[in-house]
Amino acid sequence: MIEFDQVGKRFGSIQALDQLSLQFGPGKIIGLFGPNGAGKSTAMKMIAGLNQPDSGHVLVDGQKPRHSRVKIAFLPEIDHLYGWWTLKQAADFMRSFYADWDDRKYTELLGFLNLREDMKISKISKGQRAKCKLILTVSRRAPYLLLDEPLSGIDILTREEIINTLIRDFREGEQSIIISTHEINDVESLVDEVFFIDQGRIVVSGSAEELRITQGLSLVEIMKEAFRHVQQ
Amino acid sequence: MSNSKLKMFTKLYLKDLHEVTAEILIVVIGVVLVTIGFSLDSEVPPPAFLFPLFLLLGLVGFLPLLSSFKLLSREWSHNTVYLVMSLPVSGAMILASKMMVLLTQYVGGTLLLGLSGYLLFATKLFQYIAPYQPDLAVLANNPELVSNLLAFYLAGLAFLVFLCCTSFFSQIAGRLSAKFSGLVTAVTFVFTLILSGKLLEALGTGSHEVNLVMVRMSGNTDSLVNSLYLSSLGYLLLAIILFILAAVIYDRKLEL
Repeated sequence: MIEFDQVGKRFGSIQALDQLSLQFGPGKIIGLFGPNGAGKSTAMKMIAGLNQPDSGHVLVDGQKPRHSRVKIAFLPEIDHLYGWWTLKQAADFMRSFYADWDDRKYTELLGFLNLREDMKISKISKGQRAKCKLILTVSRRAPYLLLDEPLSGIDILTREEIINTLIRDFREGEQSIIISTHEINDVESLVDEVFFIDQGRIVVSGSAEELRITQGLSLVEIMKEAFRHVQQ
Repeated sequence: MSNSKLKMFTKLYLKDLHEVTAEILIVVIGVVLVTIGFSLDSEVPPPAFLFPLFLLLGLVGFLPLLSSFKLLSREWSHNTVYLVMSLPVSGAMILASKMMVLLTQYVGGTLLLGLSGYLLFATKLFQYIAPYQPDLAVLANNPELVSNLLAFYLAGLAFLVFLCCTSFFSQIAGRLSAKFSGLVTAVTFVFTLILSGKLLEALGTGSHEVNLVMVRMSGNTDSLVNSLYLSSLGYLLLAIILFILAAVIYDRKLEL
């Protein structure tokens, strides 16, 4: 389980996270939704151990994130792979660090995502790079997958491929996937639980299905409603 | 089952080694050109090759320091720091792999240069100056000379390790500041060098203690060698302290 307890984080004059308290339970696909600058990426980086809270604490299975890196597969929004790598070199690199690397899954995904191992990271399109990042993250059997804006700037066909990959490989009960995005439409059908975040605070949260039934709205509409109230 | 630390270190080392390919090639090409050029050209007086060899020696000593800045700063400028910092390894391993690359660069470069110098000396210079310096052959087989050269080499290596650790420490300290990171790095680098110099001076292990003229006049090379070893030890101790500080800041304070 991932826990945020009264977590505060400030960057200069911007309050990125404001006394944020939440829990991401195991075995679910969780959506962390909100507009740009809401604090989603800061929260994701905190779970990955790349940021530290100014106040409060974050725990991953009861441990500080920097001691839990082996349990977390993090896909950041930006391109973070070495340009001179081929996909094969990148996979070899990841395989050396993570015992949960699954070669069979990697080989299957290569075909599923139409990728070739000799593709050089710096020479391929943005969509292919997004798929490379995804395959390197999803090929691990890590207990927690963190996907920060995995669909940002990606064309509609590639988006579908990415979403289908996530659905195909999600191991219910064993793994949690946390998807941070402001493009809710694409992942609405995917998530079990949602957290709407704005200015570093949770505005609405709960089971995606329950929210849809009780409010009679789609998640996109719920987000619009929630942020309209906040802005007023 | 966890993956072995050695395997992880090797992967980091090979990745970092790839980043300094250009610098390694510059030295290799330079040395090969000088060696072949002077070996084939019989018109040029043999002592002339000493000048480019010394230039290359300067380059071999300077490039690893330059690479130390490149290796670390590129992780940020290319966003690969997101990958590196997510890995389940300590800051000490990340920095140690980079340090190992810099040492490879220096040791490989100096060995190549040494080989080139030896070849040119044996094939060209020795015949040229032997009539004027008949003791040269004796000098070449002098174990004391070898020991002195080794002391100089190790002192150079220790000083390079110290400079690279200072570079790592100052760059990581610079990354603690969201703004003016470059300025903080530069100020920290200069300040650390000055402070280290003062500290070594106070401890009496600074390289200024090595007075070559005095040694030559007294003919006592033992004191030169001892001074060099003492100085090397001082620099290595400082390097270890700076390395540990850099690794601790990397693990505990660095944020993206």
